[in-house]
Amino acid sequence: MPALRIDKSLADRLHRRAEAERWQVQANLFTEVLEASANRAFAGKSPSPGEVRRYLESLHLEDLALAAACASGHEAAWEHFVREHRPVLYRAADAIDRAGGARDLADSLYAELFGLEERGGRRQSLFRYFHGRSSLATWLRAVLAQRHIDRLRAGRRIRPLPEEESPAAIAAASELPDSDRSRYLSLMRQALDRALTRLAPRDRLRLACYYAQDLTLAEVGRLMREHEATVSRHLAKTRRAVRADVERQLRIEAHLGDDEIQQCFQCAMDDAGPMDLSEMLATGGPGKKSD
Amino acid sequence: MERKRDESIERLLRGALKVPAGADLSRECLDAETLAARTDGRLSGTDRAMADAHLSACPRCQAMLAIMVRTAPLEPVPDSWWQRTRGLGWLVPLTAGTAAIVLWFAVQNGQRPTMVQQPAAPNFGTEEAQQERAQAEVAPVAPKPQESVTLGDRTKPGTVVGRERDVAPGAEGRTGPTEERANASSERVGQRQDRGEARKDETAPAQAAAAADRLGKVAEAASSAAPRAAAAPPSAASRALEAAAARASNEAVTLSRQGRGESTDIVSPDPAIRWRVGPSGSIQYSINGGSAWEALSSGATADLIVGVSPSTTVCWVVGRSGAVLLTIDGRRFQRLPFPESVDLVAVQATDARAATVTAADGRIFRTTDGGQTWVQTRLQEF
Repeated sequence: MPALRIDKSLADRLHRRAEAERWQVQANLFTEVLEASANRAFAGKSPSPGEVRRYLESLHLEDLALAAACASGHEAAWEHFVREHRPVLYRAADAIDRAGGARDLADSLYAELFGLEERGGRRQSLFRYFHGRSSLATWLRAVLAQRHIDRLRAGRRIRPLPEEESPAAIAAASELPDSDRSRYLSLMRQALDRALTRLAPRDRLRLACYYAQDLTLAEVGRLMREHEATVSRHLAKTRRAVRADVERQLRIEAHLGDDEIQQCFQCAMDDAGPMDLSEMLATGGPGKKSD
Repeated sequence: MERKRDESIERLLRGALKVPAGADLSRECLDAETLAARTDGRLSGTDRAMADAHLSACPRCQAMLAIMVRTAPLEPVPDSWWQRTRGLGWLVPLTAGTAAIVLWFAVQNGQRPTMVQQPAAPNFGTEEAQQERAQAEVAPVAPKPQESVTLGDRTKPGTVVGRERDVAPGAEGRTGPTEERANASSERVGQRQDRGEARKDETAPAQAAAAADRLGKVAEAASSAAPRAAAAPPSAASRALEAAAARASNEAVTLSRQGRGESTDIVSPDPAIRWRVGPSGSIQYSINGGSAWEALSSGATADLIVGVSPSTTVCWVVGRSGAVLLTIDGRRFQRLPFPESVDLVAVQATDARAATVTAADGRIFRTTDGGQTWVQTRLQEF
C-alpha cells in the first residue's frame, strides 16, 4: 500500500493546534510525524480522507509536538519533558516496585529517549515510537511496564529449581495411588484448558487479570471499564461456567462416574501446583519491539 | 460440594492462566504504543478486539496490562446516570416546591406553566423581533442566571451538556446584522415558535406526560419547602441549588421539553463557540457567544435534545429516535448509525471518538470509534 500523504491545509491546522512552534518544530517535520502515525494506524488498510482526518484530529497533538522536539534534540523541549514527566515515571516505577527497584529502569529510559545513540548520523530516540494515540504519560508507563516485565521474565529463566525436599516440591499426601492421582490431575488440567479456550476473550482476560495477575476487583474493573461489583459477578459466572464445562467433559468425554469426578476435583485441591515450570520455560510469543 | 469444586477450579486457574493459550501465539505481542492506546481507550473497535483477543491468551502482555492498571493515576469510576442523581435526592422536595410555586403563579396568571424560560430569540434589534419576543414570553418567576447542566460529577470545560440560556436582559438595544438577515432570522424564530405552538397540541410522549405527573405529585407533597426557596433572593448558593436541581430533574425536563419545541444551547470550551439544537433536526452555530447564529444542515429530522462539546470543533448531539450527530469541524454534522431507535436524553464525550449516550429508558451506550460502533453497557450495580 502506498504511504499515506496528508493534505497541507490539514497538516498546517494540526501544526497550529499542536502549538508546535513553541518548540520550533517546523511544519514539514510535524507533517512527517503525523504521516508516520497515520501510516502505522492504517497499515494494510485503505482509509478515506475523512477517516484519516478524524484519526489525526483525535491524536494528542501537543504531546506529539513535544516528542518530536525532544527527538530532534531541542533543549527547552527536553527540559520541559524532564520537568513534567520525570515525576510521572518515578511514580509509575514506585508503583511497580515499592522498594525502588524499578527506578533504575525509569532512569535508563532517559538515555534512550534523549537519543544518545546515533545511526547514520541521526539520533535514535525512543520517541520515534510514540505516535500520539495515547497521551505521552501513558506511553511512558507502557514502555516502563514492558521493560520491567521483560527484565522479570529474563531473571526467572535462571532461577534455580526448588530443592527436592522444599515445600514447593513436596506434593500433598494423597490416599490415591500415584498413577490414579496423576491421571486425574492430567484430566482436570486438560479439561480446564479446553474450557478456557471456549471462553470469550473478554471473559478469559478478566479471569487472567484476577487469577494470574492478582489484580484486585477494582483494578480489574478499571481495566475492563466495569464496576467492581460487575467484575465480581462476571468472575463468578465465568467460574461456574468453567466448572460446568469441566464436569461435562469429565463425565461425557472421559466417561468418569460421580465418584471419580469428585476425586478429580479433590486431587486438584490437594495438588501443590506445577512449580511454575511452564511459566519459567514460556517465551511468551515472538520477539517484541523495544518500544 | 459446589463451593469446594469452585475452590478446586480457582486453584487450577491460577496456574493455567499463567501459561500462554496455544503453543504458538500467531500475533506479535502488543508493543508499548498499542498497549498505551488501549489503556487510554484510543483503539478502534476492531483494533481493540484484536488486542483483547491477544491479551486474553498472552501472560506477558497481561502482565504489562496489569502494571498499567497498577501505575495508573487513580480516577473515580464514572457514575451511571441514576447514581449521579442519587445523592441529590434531598433536592427533590426543593425542586418540587419550586415547581409548585411556578405552577401556582402560572395558574394564577392564567398562562401555560413552564419549567424553563423560552429560549432567547436571536436579537437583531428590530422592532418586529422584539414584538415577537414579547408575544412569546411568559411571566418569568425570577431572573434566572445562565444555568449549565452537566452529566458528570463535576462541571468541566467542554463537558457542559446544554441549556445555556442567553437571557440577556436589557439586550434589546443591541445592534444586530442587516435588516434583511434580521427579518429572515425573525421569520425563523417565528417559525420555531409556531412549531412549538403547534406541537403543544400534539399528544405528548407517554414519558413526558408521566414525567409531568411525577413532578406534579411531588410538588403537592413537598409544597411546604417551596416558599422559603422561592422567596429567597437570588444568591450564589441559590443559583448553585438551582443548577443542582436542574441536574436532578434534567431528564424529566428534557422529555417534557420535547413537546414544547424548545432549543438547547451547547457551549464549547471556548464560550464564544456554541451550537443551538432543537426540534426537527435544527442546528444553529455561533462563533460570537450567541450574538448571531448560522443555520447548519444536520441531515436529521428528529428532535435534537441535548449535546456536548469537548473541544471547539467537536460537538456530539443526541435526540429522539436514536438520533446521534457529530461534527469535528464545527459546521458539518454527520448522522451516525445507532443500534436502536430510542429517545436519547444525555451524552458525554471526551473527544471525537469516545462518547457515552443515555437512552430515556436508562440504558447506556458507548462508542470509542467516533460512533461507528456502539456497545451497550450495563447499569452499574452494587
